[in-house]
Amino acid sequence: MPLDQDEIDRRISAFDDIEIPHPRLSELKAAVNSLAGDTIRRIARNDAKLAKADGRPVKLDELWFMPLVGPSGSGKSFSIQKVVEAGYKAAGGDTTRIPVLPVTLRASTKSPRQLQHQILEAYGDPSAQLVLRERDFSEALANKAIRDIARVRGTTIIILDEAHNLLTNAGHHAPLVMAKAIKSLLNDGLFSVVLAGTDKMVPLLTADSELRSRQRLPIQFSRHGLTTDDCRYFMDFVTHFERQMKESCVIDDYIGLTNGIESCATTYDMADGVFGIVVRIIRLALERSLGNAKPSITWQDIALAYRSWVSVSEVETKKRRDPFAKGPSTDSVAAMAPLFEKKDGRAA
Amino acid sequence: MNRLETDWFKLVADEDVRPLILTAQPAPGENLIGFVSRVMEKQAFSSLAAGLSLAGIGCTKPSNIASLLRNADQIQNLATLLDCPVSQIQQLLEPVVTTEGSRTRMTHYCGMAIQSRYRTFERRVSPRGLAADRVHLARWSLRPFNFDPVTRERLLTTCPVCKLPLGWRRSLGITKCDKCRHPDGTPATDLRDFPQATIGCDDDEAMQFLSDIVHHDPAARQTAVSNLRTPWIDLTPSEVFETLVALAWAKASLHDPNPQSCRPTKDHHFLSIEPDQLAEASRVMLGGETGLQEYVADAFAKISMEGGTIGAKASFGRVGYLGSDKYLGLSVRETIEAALLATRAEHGIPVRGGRAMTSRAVAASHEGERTGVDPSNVLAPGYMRVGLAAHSFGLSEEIFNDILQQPRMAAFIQNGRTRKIGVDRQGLIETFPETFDSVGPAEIASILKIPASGAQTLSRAGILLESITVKRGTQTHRRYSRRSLTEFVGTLAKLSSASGNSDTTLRQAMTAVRWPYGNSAIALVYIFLFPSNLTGLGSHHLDWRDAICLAEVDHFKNELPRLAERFGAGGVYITKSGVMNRLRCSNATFGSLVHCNLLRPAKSPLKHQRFLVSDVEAFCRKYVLSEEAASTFGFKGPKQAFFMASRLGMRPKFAWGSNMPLVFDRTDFERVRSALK
Repeated sequence: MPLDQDEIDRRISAFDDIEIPHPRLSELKAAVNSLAGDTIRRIARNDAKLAKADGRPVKLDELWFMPLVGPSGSGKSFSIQKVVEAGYKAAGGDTTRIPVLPVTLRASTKSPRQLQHQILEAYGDPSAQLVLRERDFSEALANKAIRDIARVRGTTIIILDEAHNLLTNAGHHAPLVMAKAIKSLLNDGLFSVVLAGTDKMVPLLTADSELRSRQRLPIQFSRHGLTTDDCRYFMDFVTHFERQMKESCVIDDYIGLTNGIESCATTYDMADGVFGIVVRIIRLALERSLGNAKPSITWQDIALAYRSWVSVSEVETKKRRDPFAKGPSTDSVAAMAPLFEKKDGRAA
Repeated sequence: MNRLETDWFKLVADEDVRPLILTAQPAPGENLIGFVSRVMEKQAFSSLAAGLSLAGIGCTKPSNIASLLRNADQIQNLATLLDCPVSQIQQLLEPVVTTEGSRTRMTHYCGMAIQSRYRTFERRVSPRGLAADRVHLARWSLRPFNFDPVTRERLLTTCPVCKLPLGWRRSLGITKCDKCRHPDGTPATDLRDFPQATIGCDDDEAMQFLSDIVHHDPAARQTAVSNLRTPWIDLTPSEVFETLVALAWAKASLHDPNPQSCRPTKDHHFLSIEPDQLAEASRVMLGGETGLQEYVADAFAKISMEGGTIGAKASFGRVGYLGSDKYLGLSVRETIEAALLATRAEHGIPVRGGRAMTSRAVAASHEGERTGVDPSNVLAPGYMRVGLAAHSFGLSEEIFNDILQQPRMAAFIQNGRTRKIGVDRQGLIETFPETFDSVGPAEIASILKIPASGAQTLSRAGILLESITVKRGTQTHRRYSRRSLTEFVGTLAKLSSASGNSDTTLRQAMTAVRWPYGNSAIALVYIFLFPSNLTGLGSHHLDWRDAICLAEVDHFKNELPRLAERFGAGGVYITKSGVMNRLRCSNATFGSLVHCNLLRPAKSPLKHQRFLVSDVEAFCRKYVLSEEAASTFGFKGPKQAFFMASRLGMRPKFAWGSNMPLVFDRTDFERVRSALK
């Protein structure tokens, strides 16, 4: 029976509603909670100092920053969203409070002033538009204003997503400049910072030794390797994801992403051990199959979707090995084998 | 949009205004710029003008925003940006208004009407006041008060560090200098660290009264006023404030050589008002009649020690003029005048008619006693001032003065006392009736319904007599004898009644009335007054050049047949202006008509360009120009004519060009006109 447009829309929508928490989300939440607690204590101390000084200069306790590193599609942004939502939940019914402020950095953010502009913009403060064009701009005044806004909004942590954008196409001084800018946010006692981005932001973390001294343990959302534990983590996610698709009636039949060693190895090779890539390619395949009025996804759809996805980037195309044309790599097959030793059929 | 009403600050933003996250509420007694600055100092920028631009208010000098912000949208936007009710912003506004019948510019200080000159837009602060409450108070902007009546501290107007005037350009902090900054842009000078000297006034009651009268709370002001005694008991706080300033300024400038100016205007005037003088003024008001009497007596004592005792200036200095101070209420003036008179009487200073005499009046009085002439009569009876006389003659004062320079006029001029020149108007009229009983060209034009320039032509024809001819620069001013005009009008009236019978020709009528003027005058009468009597000639057939031409004809009678041949019933030609009058069209449309060959110039006995009347009439029968349609239906221009005519069912036949007049069909036009009737 051919699918009508309403049904296609419903299935796409149901696919988008599927939420599978990252296995390391709880680790991230715990780290953020710990960071928030520490930050709140230091902010209270700083506020007491400021109140005592009555507007005169004081030296504030510095706050912390925490890197969240992982490749594109590794679930960072999704996890950040969950952390932010948890913050809103903690704030209760107070809609003005933003305990964790997410800021998605643009590729144009290349200076401390632009960074402050983006933070103010994330708060929705109209003064953001003036920060960029102010002739008498003062970073210190802007930081003071951001700190006050953060206090009003109850913000203790700011998450700078896509932090690698700070260095994209920037000069060789960019890591140091932006590291200093982030350090000034910490030194001025505004809030603690979570820097989320790909490994391209690593120079930012190492450029300034003083900033490194303010760093907490990084959270890694890196790709899963070919160790047994990593493979099990990864295949668990894929299995869970496929089951959710079936239960949400996105597809009528299972695809069989984890049916057998070869399927698992092909899926792994396709995503290169990154959860997000599986989801993206399956979504493209779903669109293709629904476009052909087919209620289920076939491997053929996935192969075509994979190729169209990798064709977007020539570099990626060269680097990647097409598991659908050449079959799964021997390393992947070897890595998946232990998963099927105890139980035939599906991966554990 | 009326600039005065709304547009002092231009609107710079079209997008919706969002509230700032970091805001505040106006504090009691705070002024608008202080409040705005207090909010803006919390923001990530420092420019106050830039902050105001977020509310769509574009200005380069934000200090006077309270006075000039009038646009309701901008007020709303500012309230939205600062996240406070519009009513609070409106309470902080200080619009400058002028009351009906007065040129005095008033403004509102915390709901109290004061003269706008008493309010400054400069930033003046009391460091102690700032230390007590980080708010910029409105009372610091009152110019007569160079001190804070509450903290009794002199106000700081310049930064003690950079020595520059305090301003409102940057919002670095309400307690900070807006110009001193550290290299990182943070404010460097805290004004609270520089407390100023306090005033040395011991009169606590007077100072309390001063602080109450400028209190931001109207109830506190009213309470202070209600405690006053006679004669100040019925005054409003606004009047009390005005009186306080007047009394203090009078004492501050007691020895001013020009005491008539009753109010301080310049900065140094206000700076010269000392706290002690304000305290003394408030003591006068608290003391009632006794206080005022002592105040006046003190002024008299200080001034009269220097010499003269006669006249307001010599007796009391500036205090002597308070009784006629137009800014004070009538009751206040009367009270002060009574006190001044009482002091004069006490010291035996001459008074006439309940008013003090000036020293010049007293001297004249002595002279009058000696000569027996009433000194109050400045000009002799029957004489009036030159300006008034000139006005009565319909002349400008300059022209009249030129006439008076003539030797024959000397007998009618009197050099009065106090440098006033009198003119015997009646004598002038009786002696030179032709000169001074005159009419101007405009009046003649309105009486005879002719062009103003026709008066000179009538004069050249001997109808009107020139009475005054004055050359000033390149222009010659002429006036004509009223008598000659009256006679001419009378003759015309007779002529009109004599030619009322259709059997009587105009020539017969002229004979009957014994036409006193020459042949050229007859031509003018035809042309100006009875153009329709020219057989077959409508008024539109003649233009002003023709009139001039005919006016110069000596034997109009002999010319008339030839004119009839040219213009008469058998006449076939019409001038350009005649065509334009007939078609009611502009010069441009006429050019287009000729250019399109709808009208062709024809050969005529004269050298001027002429057109066949038949061509013009044929055109009129066929077409209607938009000018005629506009005058008939009330259209305003070609575009409106097009749209309106389309609505009325008239389609234009064609147009001369883009945005040029249209041409309609005469049949359509008449149909619509009759339908509308």
